[in-house]
Amino acid sequence: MIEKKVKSILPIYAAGAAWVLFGLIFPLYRLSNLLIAIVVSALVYLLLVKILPERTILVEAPPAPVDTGDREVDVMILSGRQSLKKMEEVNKALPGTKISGQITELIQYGRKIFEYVEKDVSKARNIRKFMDYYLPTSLNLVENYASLKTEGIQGENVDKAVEKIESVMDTVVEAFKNQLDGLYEDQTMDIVTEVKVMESLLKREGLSGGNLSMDMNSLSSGQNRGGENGVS
Amino acid sequence: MAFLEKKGVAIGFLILCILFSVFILGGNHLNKQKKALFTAFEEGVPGVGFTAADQVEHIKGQGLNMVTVLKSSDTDYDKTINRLEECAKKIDNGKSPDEKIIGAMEMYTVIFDVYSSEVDRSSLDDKGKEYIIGIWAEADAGVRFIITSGYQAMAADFNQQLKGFPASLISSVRGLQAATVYQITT
Repeated sequence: MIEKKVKSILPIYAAGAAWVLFGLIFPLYRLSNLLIAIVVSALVYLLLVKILPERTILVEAPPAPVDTGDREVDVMILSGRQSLKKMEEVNKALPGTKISGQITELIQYGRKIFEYVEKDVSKARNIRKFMDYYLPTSLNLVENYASLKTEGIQGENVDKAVEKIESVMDTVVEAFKNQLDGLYEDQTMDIVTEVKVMESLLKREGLSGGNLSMDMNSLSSGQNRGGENGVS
Repeated sequence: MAFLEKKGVAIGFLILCILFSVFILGGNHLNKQKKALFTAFEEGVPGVGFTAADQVEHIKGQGLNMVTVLKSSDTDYDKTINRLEECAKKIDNGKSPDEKIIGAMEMYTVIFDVYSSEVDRSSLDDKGKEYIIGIWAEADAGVRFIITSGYQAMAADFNQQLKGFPASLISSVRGLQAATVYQITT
């Protein structure tokens, strides 16, 4: 959200009121009176615009322009962000529900994924499947869920569909999380390698302790869980 | 009241105010003007003794006098008598000055028809003929008064206003009609 200064709406109402007041006193079927009424209402409007201070309101920030240097990636990121935006809109219709929290998580993971790809364009290929299938399918599921819930349709089939979507949402959230995690694979791999080299050097120099080795092992095992294959 | 803070709502309100002021309030002012015509018809204009309404009644009286004359004579004026009686009803039932004046003008036309046909046919005796001439002269004076009266001038002024913009638009939307104005052509 960003702050935006907007002009007061009151002068427009005042201009309308000026028309009615003028019309009550002077016959507006005469062209001369009609022209005077236009001038009077315009004056009322301009005067109030000058007098009344501008209001500060919070508005949604416009989507930041994407410029990664690769047109195709730019389009992909914009399209993905649009899908997340739609998901956010749909989520507004489901306040206070468990699924609403899950959708919020999906959106957060999704945003981080696109932020990452925007910084490192080479990762765009890693999210191809996510863009082509997982994200649109998730959006479709969420839209259908909201539609069934808000329209208040009841019936065996509808209840089954709703339950099915609710049950799959945890898996979808996990998949988004893994997708994000997978993007860090190379980075963590580099870290692990670097640490291993450092560890062996320290050992060779006789400077190492036991704790460092244990920490490195846990980082290495965490890294292996990431990657595109983690999305199911 | 977040709804009222929307610019579209405010602009909609402004448009409604303009339409209301022009068509409703402006139309009401036009209606008042037309009602003022009624008053002028009934009560006359300052400085003039007779009113147009008086003259309409006077013409009706002359028409009914003619009915009496024609009925008492041995003539074939049955249709004319009916027409005169219908005109008298029109005047009585007329709800506006226009309707009453139209009735009076029609009656005057019938009176004139009888007058001019009697000049050719001479179906009435001299006394009857003299009476008819008197009736026609009275009715003619009444019509001339109406035409030259302040009421007709006001009606003409009202019509002139109706022709202008935006009065023409307002009158067509509100269904306001121009007043009937007669002129002396012969």
